[in-house]
Parts: sequence; C-alpha cells; structure tokens
Amino acid sequence: MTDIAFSFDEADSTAAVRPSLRLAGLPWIDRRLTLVFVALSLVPLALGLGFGLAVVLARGGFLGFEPETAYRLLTLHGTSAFFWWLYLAQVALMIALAAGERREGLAARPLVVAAAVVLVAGLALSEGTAVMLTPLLYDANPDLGRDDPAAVAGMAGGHLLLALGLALASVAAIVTVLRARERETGAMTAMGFGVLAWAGFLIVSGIASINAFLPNLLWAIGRGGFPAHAATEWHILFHNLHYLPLMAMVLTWYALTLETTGTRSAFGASFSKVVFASYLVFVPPTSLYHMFLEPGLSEGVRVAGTLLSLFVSVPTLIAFLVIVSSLELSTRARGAPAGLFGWIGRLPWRSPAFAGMGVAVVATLLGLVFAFVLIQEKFAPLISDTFFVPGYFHFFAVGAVSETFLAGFLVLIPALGGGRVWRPGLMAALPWGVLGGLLIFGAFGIAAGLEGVPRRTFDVAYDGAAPVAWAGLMRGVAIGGAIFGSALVLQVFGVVATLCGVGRGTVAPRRADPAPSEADVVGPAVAWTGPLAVIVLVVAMSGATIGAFELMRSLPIVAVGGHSGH
Amino acid sequence: MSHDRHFTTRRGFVGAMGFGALGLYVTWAAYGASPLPFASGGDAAADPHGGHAVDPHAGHGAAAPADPAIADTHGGSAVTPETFERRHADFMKRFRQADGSVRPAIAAAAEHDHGAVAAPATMPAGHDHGAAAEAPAAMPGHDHGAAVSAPPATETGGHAGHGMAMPMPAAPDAHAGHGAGPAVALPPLAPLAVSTPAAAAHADGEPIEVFLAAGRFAFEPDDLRLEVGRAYRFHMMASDVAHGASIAFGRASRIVRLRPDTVTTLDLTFREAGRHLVYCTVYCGPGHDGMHASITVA
Repeated sequence: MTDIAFSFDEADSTAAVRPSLRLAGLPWIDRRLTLVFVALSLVPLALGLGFGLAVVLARGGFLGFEPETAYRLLTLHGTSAFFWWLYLAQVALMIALAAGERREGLAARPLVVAAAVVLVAGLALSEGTAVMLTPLLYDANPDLGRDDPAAVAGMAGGHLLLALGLALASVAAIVTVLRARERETGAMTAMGFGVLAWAGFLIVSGIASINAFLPNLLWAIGRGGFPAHAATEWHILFHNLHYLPLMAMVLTWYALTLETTGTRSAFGASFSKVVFASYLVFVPPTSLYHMFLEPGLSEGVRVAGTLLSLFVSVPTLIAFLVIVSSLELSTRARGAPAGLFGWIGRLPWRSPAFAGMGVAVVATLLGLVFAFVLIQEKFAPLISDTFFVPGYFHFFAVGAVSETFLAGFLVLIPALGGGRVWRPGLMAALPWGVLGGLLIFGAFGIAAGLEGVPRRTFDVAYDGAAPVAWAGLMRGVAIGGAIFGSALVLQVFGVVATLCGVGRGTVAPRRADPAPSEADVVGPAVAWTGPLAVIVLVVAMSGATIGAFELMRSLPIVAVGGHSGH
Repeated sequence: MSHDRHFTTRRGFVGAMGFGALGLYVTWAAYGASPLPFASGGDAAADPHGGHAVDPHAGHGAAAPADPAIADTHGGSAVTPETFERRHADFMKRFRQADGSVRPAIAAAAEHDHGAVAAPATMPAGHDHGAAAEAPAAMPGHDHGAAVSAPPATETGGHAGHGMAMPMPAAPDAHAGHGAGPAVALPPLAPLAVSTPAAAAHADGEPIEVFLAAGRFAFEPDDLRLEVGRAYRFHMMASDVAHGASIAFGRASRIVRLRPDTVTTLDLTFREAGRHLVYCTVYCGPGHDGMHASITVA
C-alpha cells in the first residue's frame, strides 16, 4: 500500500476539514484495517445481490426453483444483505470516522482486529448454515427448525458472532472518540458525538441480539428449553436493526456533504448532536408497529404503538432538513443562480459519492411516504405480511442506505489507500439507474402488496385460484428488481475495481476548501427547499394513507377483532 | 446564532418541520382512526378492519368491540386454546358436507348456551336437494351473488348485478355439483337444521361460529361455504408453527396472523357474494406455497 505523504498536523482539526484529509493522515495500520472491513463487507453485498436477483426473478415467474431451494435463496439473500452487508459496512464507516477524530488513529486497535476475526467467522457460519441446512429465513425462527436444531444453532451462532464483532468494534470506536476528546481538552465534534451515539446504539442492539438468539442457540445445542418468546425477542431486535443503518446513513451524509461540497451544518454542531442523540430517544420506544398483527397484542398497546410510531422518523427528517438547508445556503453563498431550485444544479452531481448521496436522499423521501402507511395499526390487516413491505423497504435498504454506504466507500478507498475511483462518470450515473429500477420495483411491489400478494411466497398462483393481476404485478416487480440489481452489481464492481486500484499511484490530498463559516453564510439567507420538501412529503404521506383507508373501505366485508382473547 | 437569520434557517423552525410530519395524525383523525379520545373516533366509515362499521345485515358491526375479552363473551362461548381442538373437531364433524366443503350453520352457536335445541349433524349424502325451505333465509333486499356461477337454490332470485372478486366457472346445473371439485361448481345447499329459537337469536345479530385451524400445510376446513350478509365469528388457531390466514378480495386482502396456543377471534360479515382465496402469509416451511383454502360466499 502506498503511504500517503500527509500529516494530520497539516489539517486544522477544528476547521471544516474534509474527512478524506483526516483519513489520509491516519496510521498505516488503521487505513489497512478499515480497507479490510470495506472489502469484507462487499462479500455479503455481492452474495446478497446475486441471491436477491435469483429471488426476484423467481417471484416474477422468470425462474423456477423447488420450494426448498427457493426459500434457501431467500434466506441467503436476507442474511447476506440485511445482516452482514449493512452491518459490516457500518463497521468500516464507523471505525474510519472514529479514527478520523483522533490524531493517533484508532485506540484499542486489538479490539478491531478481534472484531474482524469474529465477524469473518460469523459470516462463514451464517452463510454455510444457510447453504447446507434447513432454510429458516433470516430471522432463524426456531419453530421452523424443530426438526433441524443444527440449522437453528448455525444461524443463531452466526448472528451472535455478528453481535459480538459489532460490540468489539463499537467499544474501540467509543474509546477512540473519548481519547480524542481528552486531547482536545474536552471538546467533542458533532461527528465524534455522532459516532459515540452510533456505537452505543450498536452495543445496545448487540445485547438485544443476545437476548433474541442466545436462547435459540442454547435450545438447539440441548442446553436450554424451547425459546417460547423467540418471536417477541426478534421483533425488539428487528426494530433496532432497521434504524441503526438509517442513523449510520445520516452520519455518513454529514461526512459526505463536507467531503464533496465543503459544507458544514448551518445549524451548528450542538444542533447536530441533538439530532444524533434523538435516535436513541425516538427509536427504541417505537418498535411496536412491527407487532400490530400479532394476535396477543392488546388494543392499548396497539394504540400506544401507533402514537409512538409517529415519532420514529423525526431524527431522519430533521437531519434531512439540516443537510438540504445547509447545502442550499452554502451553494447560494457561492453564487448559485437565483430561483427556488436553481442552486440544486450547482451541486457536484458528477461526483460519484455525491450522486450516491443525492439518490439516497430521494429514496429516503420515497420510502418515508409508504413507511408512514405501515405505522397505522388499522392497516396491519391490510398490508403486513404482503409484498407492500419489501416494496417500500427496498427504497431504504437499497436506495438510501446501501447507496450512502457505497458513496462513503468511494471516498474512503482513495483516501485510505490512494488510487482513483473507477470510471467516475459511470459511477456517478449508476445510482440513478438504481433509483430507476427501484421506482419500478417499488411501484409494482406496493401495488402487489395492496392487492394482497404475500411477502414470502414464491408461487402465488395457488393452483389458479389467485387473482389474475398478481402474476402481472410480480413480473413488474421482477423487472424493476432486475434493473436496480444490475445497476447495483455494476456499482459493486466499480467499488471493487477502485479497491483493486489501491496502491497504484498516489493521490495528493487536497487542502480543505475554505468552507463558508456560519456567520458568512447564514445571516438573513433563505433556505426554502428543505421545508418545502417536508411539506410535499407530509402531503404525499397523507395521500398514501387516504388511499389505504379508501381501499379498506372498499372491501366487501365487515370485520371486527382479529385479536386474541387468550 | 445570528439574530438576523431568516426563520427557515433557525433551529426551532427546522425542528418544528421535522415534527410537522406528525400532521399525518390529522388524516388519521379524519378517518376516525386516530388513537386518542379527543379525535373523531365515531366515524362509522372508519371501521378499523373492514371499512364499514355499521352494516344493516351484520347486526354487530361497529358495536361489536374489538376487545378480545368482549369478543369472547357471546353466549359464554369463550374459546380457549385447550378447547379449540375439541370444538374445531366438533365443528368439522357437524358441518362437513358430502362434497368435502364445510357449511357452518346456526346450529353451531345454538349449542352454546343460547337455549336453542341443538341441530342434528350434517345430513347424509343424498339429502342435498330441495333444501330451500330449510336453509337460512336469504337476506331480504340483497342483490348480491350474481357472479357466482352456481348459486345455491335458495338465493337464485333477485341476486343480480354484483360482481365478485374471483369469478368462478359456470356450472351447467345446480344439481351437478356432486363429486365435482369445489373450484368447478358450487354444490347445492345441504339442508340446514335450524331451530327456531336459535334462528331468532341470530336474526338479532348473534354471529355463527366458525373454527379454522391452520397447520403445515393446509387449512381445515379448506372449503368453507358462507352466506352473504350473515355474521360469522371466526375462531382461528395455528396447530404447529405460526401461520397467516389472508382472505383475498381481488383488490386487497384481509390478513390475520395465527400463533400456536393462541386463539384469534374475528367477526366477519361478507357483504357480497364471491369466491375468495384464503392463503398462508407467514412462511411455515417448504410446503408454504401450497397452503391455501377457499371461502365461497353466496
């Protein structure tokens, strides 16, 4: 690996220093460790993509598999993409951002090395189990593994190793940030605070993971009773698993905004800290909406869950507003044309990292429109367990989070190892291809879900008894999935190619552009785009909700209840 | 912070906009689905699970509370996981028809403390014709069911004009259903033994009880025949692992999640005739794709 001739001292740690400059100044071992995690995370991403493409083509009727093979593919897709890709990528980004906070790089480095070993073992165990034993889907429901406890043990063991690896890396990140704070005489940057909150949240989720999977493992190896509450424990964990990647995404947006435009938050570091901390406040209590269809949930809990769920995306929305408004102010201060949206054209769309982040912002808004349909408990009998769920959540999982993480990698890799982004023009265009495919996938998927197409059933013909529209809708889903999957495959190839270029020549680190100071930029300036976007979002959410209500009203039944009395 | 900032760049404004997403609550309230008491909760159009809280044919409609404890108080017929299997078996034995379909009738509820005389069990095969006089009375004023190609003899009159979610192939003769698969033609109505007191009770809206068991990889019963406008109380339970039971209506579905050792109770009244696919929505093993049943409403 080429050593980059850049000293941390050259950058003023208190100014708007681009993250790449901080990263380039890290010790060699930290740069290599981070790149190892980047490379490691691309393995499950590639696997998840391949399995996902097979799954979506099978769902559309373009491929045919025996049921066991089909559900094995689905298990592999979910396990690889949702658990391993999203979390290994978080480790890579988290340790990079943490290390960037400290002149000497990572503290507690052996913990990071240990995390790498544990995570590789866990990945191998998860994938191996999913390939060879009974497919249990990614939640590894022990009910389905009563006849094959080894499958439960393998899946639970893999998830527990993931939790352990995350905890080790998180502890290292926390120690690093706290040591950086000590050196800076008690001051902590917004990013440092964000990493602290993120790592803390990861540890809490690791504990939830132990809570969910350790009883399964103990039962499977004959050391405990059957985990009767496995479904509930899974729901609690699952909720955190949703929002951790979103929190990581928002932090990465902050870093990418600074990196690609030189823009800091116009609202100040303390407000950013409040936003990061609010994830810890708003996310854990809002998990109930995943359980609205559970027969044992009382009406009071459903009501409380619905109310709390209203708050679930508040941190993400505020972060969105902060970033969009800051970009608008900064771009206008640098001479962007007048007009409400003219400044958007001045953003660095040719930058692959910025293009990825831009697509992620759009995808987040699209996902939020439909996510807020799901939080209303009255709709649980209409859309839970249908294809509505994957139809909307791929906007988050792929369009928002994965695109953000890949954008982050396109900054990390050259900064840590030299080299250049592979075919930057193509890499800047591919996120839009992903978004286009997602729009098709999401439109057909959400429509299919509203019509009742089940979420986890490959053959929805039901011997010809299914509504005829279902097959056509799922073909649309498959086409959209194939488009965004293909674009994503190319993106991954581009990231791998960029990674392979590490060490082939050096890139002289640029000095940080002089970011406009808060006093220069803000003043009486106006930034309407963010608030207008939120207003449009709320109108769209309400429109989608009204549509769902009207659909329910059109059903030719009167239905009351659906709960358990026992 | 500078005091001459525009309000769009003030932290409070940004925070307020973030919370502005809670404006969605207004939409919920408009549909009577807001969970706080100060909001409009009485919008009859906003029945939480079906859409219409007040139905002249249902009897219970919105007045029937969603509270499961109350749902189990009808006639003292609480169904526990312990009693579900026995009552399900009894239900199947009592209402299974010669063609394998299950046609629950009022007698099911009459058994449970309504003071009615219990009806005799299913009539033997060969007694399936000419049942009009014994079948539950057709709902007066109903014009449903025309799309059912082989409507029961009791409901052939005046039932035109309504489409159904899933058109069925036409049957040339209402009496040709013997031995035919349920997807081909509806069999004629079996005679339903109805005691008068029970019938009176159900005319007041007491639902007929239905027991649906879900197990790998089938529902039991898998061919349920119901009537338009009649209220049914479904008691459902999974027998092995978690399952789902979703009823497809063509333009949307109605889903219930079922767990072992947990009886889920749902009151249903079908307002239109039709044949509806019932399918499992929770992955339950390699046979999951084939786990389905049908509800025929006529």
